[in-house]
Amino acid sequence: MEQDLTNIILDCREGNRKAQEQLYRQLYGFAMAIAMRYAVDEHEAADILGHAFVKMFRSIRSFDASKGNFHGWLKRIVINESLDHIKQRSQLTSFAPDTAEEPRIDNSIIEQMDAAAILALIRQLPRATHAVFVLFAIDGYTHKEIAGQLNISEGTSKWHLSEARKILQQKINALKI
Amino acid sequence: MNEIRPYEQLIAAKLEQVAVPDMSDSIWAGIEEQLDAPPGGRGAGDGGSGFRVPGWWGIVAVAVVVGLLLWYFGRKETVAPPPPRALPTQQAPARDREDSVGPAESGRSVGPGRVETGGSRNKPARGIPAVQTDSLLFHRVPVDSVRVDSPVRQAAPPVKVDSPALQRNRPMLPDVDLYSTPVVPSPGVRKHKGVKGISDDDYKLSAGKDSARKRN
Repeated sequence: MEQDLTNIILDCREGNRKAQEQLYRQLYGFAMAIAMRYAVDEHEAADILGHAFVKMFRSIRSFDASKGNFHGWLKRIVINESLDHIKQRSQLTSFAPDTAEEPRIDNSIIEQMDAAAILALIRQLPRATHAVFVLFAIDGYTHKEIAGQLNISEGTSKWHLSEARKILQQKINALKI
Repeated sequence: MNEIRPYEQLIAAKLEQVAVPDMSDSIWAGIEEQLDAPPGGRGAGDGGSGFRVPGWWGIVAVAVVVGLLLWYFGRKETVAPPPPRALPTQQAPARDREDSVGPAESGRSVGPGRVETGGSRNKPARGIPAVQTDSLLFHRVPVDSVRVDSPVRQAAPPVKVDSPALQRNRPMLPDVDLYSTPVVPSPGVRKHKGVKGISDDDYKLSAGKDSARKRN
């Protein structure tokens, strides 16, 4: 499987259209799942994915297998494309980090929810707050990395995370009632 | 603030289970389209500025320039020439055929009694040398900038020289005064005071005689 992927990537470097389509179809589910987390709906996710794959095919010669696997490389491209969309569509304002006590959310409620409902909940967050929450809580970025990605301060990144947690707590508690 | 909460880990795990929509074919069609387009070009759905935009602007700019040139030269042609052929006519109550030459520019034949102002422009109209000077001056300057002291300027009401109707009708006009003769003759508009040495009576007589001669 891994060998297949390596061969397909080599063909893609030569601009082979069939190999490109093969690679796209092989990675569609993986990449679409990432785009769905950052997009507000599936149409935006499709738009992000299309642009991400075009960028990937155009820069596939720069992929260096010794520096990481192909999935990780593609994930970075999809996330970067997602953040570009968000930056184009929303203004990222600076905020001072919130020092208030962090809200507590009952795990059992999350366990009872299905994936689609959780995704819908996260999509209700303000755009920048949504992005920061997914970057931090789902994709494991640090505040420093988030600040660099979104051109904001670390404090602003922390503020957005705190805001996301507060909003999620309110919404989840509302579901419990 | 820098740690991931347990419920967030749960959320992350749940999001892994999100079913992806089956849009692979339509997305691939868009990808193919963008890959076929030259890099830096404007593909489908590409929000960036593409090379086609300057191309269209170039075409529009060329069209505008060509349009302006056509308008400018067309205007110049209509403004340029020389209506003054009527001047000698006014002062020449009696003419014979030797003086009547068709206008060289238009190639049309003129009516009887009309004095040519092209090739024989410098020829004085018979018996009226004083008028000749004014005619020459008139030829050298644009119609709108006729000297204030020119009798023609004083006598003739402003005429739209670029009117196609006027040009078309010029050879058919009576010999009275081309400047003062609009397309639709309206006697009330005429305020001819005449050219030096010519009285109002001469104007009237000239027109009347020609008409009469024709009919007879």
